[in-house]
Amino acid sequence: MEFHIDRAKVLPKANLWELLEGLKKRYKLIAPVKEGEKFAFREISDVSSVELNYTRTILPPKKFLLPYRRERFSYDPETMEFKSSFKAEEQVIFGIHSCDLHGISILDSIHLKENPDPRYLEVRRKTILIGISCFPDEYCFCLSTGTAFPDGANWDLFLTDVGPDYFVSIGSPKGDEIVLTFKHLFREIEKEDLELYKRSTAKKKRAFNEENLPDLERISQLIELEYDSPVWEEEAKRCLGCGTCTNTCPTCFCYTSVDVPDLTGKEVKRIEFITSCQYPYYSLVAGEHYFKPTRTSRFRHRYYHKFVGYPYQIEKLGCVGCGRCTAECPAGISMVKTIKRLRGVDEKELREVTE
Amino acid sequence: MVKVGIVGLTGCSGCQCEILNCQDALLKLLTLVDFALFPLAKDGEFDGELDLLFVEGSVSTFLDKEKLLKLREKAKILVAVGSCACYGGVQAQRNDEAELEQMIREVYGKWELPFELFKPSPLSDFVEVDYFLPGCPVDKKQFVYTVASLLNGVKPFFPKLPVCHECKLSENECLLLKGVPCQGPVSYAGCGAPCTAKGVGCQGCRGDCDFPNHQEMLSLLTQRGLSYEDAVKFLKVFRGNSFKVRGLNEKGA
Ligand code: SF4
Ligand code: SF4
Ligand code: SF4
Ligand code: SF4
Repeated sequence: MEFHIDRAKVLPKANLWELLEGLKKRYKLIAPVKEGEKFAFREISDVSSVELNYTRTILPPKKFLLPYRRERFSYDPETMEFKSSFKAEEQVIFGIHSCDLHGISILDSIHLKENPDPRYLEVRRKTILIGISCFPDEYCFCLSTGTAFPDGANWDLFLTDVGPDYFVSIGSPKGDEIVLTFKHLFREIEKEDLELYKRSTAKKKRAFNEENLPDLERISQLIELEYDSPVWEEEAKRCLGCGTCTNTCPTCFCYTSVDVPDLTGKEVKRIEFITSCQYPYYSLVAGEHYFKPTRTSRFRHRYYHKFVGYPYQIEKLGCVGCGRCTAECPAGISMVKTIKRLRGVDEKELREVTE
Repeated sequence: MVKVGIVGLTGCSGCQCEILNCQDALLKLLTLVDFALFPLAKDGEFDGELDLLFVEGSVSTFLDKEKLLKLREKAKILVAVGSCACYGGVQAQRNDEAELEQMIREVYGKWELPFELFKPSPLSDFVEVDYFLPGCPVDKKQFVYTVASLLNGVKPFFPKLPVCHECKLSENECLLLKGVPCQGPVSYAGCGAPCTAKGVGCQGCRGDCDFPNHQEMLSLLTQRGLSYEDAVKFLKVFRGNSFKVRGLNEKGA
């Protein structure tokens, strides 16, 4: 038998709902929904609630791969018998934007490259990722981080809106299987579809306003060379240390854990929960020593990890340009502006000089 | 059996009621400990030693003080329950704005009273407190967790993270960004952020998180329509006399 994976198909828009219904019958279906003025990834019970046009959800889909509060195991302190209640479900996360797919690919590298986390691996094995195309708002800068379009092999299907249809890129054998299962909903690509697809890609690129994009050229070096820049303290002055920037970030993975006994002391649960390098507690060690004792050091730490640390760890930037850390910051601190200030070049002036 | 005491000083008894609301945990506890002293729920006197003592309310009268000093002597571990016991409570929010005499004349119409009164104060002004469980009222889950930890010889663990932590992880829309005054960024989490989930800005009932940036908080509140004075008063509601504006220019900030 010939092994063959189709690279792309076309899904007429009218067929999308039937596809979602079909997926919901087979898997736990997760997708973005609108709640008040916000968007959030939720488990779907009624496919008509799925929101296709959204800018960004408050929390990234990461929460369905790595719950923010999770039980690692429980044990009996007398017998030291360990139990785990962990169970991964077959799930489809539908409607993920390109930046968040890249975010998941970064999490994959973090959790699976060295010392793979067996639990994360099992969740990922049982998760199907279906992306959807989007248009940037003023906070998006995925064009600078190279994450504006899906890439790599960590996703299964990607739907690009090309007008009457979705151009469906197939990213994996699992994606191919879905297309095969629902083959009556898809049709073959024709030359015009390809044209439309290319046009939509170009249209997204043009939708960015250059003012909102940072220059990330040799960004690791820039951040390291500017270690002593006064910009850090000036920006940190306004930082509340609220942790929103890391809690909403699709690539942050820091957590802490605590053992919680029950009243009888017969069962102790090890609870892991997400934490943030923006909290003083994060760097607290024995003897009340803080490794990051000042607001400035904590503020700078996030940029260091995103732009210097991740490249060392996984050879990729730790930022996918989703804009959440800026859009959600109660103090209005902007990652793009901080980077622009660190560069210290008035870009408008520079443009005038070179023109 | 472990002897437990739960008593109230000057306060609304809301925290003790919240403890009574921990029904499942209380049923289990009844087989594990002896609630030797719990005047709100149980008749009878008790004068013996206590392993674990929970005290609600602020110290406002000489009776409060005498009771507290006596009980401290008899208790191995003392836990301050609720924001009155931890910080003085809402009744302490203007402690720094008036003299005691002025307050007493305002309330009782005269200065000479047959008993001694203080400005409402936290327990720690008079005795050593082993653990603090702030909140108005105290959070049930935190109470049960504290009891479970202490009964089993474990130190309860309370990182002083900001309320934004729990608010954001509950995926609430940020009220500050919508223009609603919210103290979440400088307040101590542990409540689960129920107020912001309902669209009400955090009132800071659990006091300060670690190294709060009051300076920036005040400027964000003034940008949302509060005068500077009102913004300070807003932060003082639960922080009481312990409040001072903290920002970037001090240790750890
Ligand atoms: S979200 Fe803004 S205020 Fe909060 S910790 Fe991050 S940079 Fe600071
Ligand atoms: S650092 Fe900010 S913009 Fe970059 S991925 Fe994280 S939340 Fe998005
Ligand atoms: S150190 Fe900070 S920026 Fe880096 S992953 Fe952890 S929380 Fe995110
Ligand atoms: S609503 Fe309040 S607690 Fe929630 S994120 Fe905004 S500032 Fe923080």
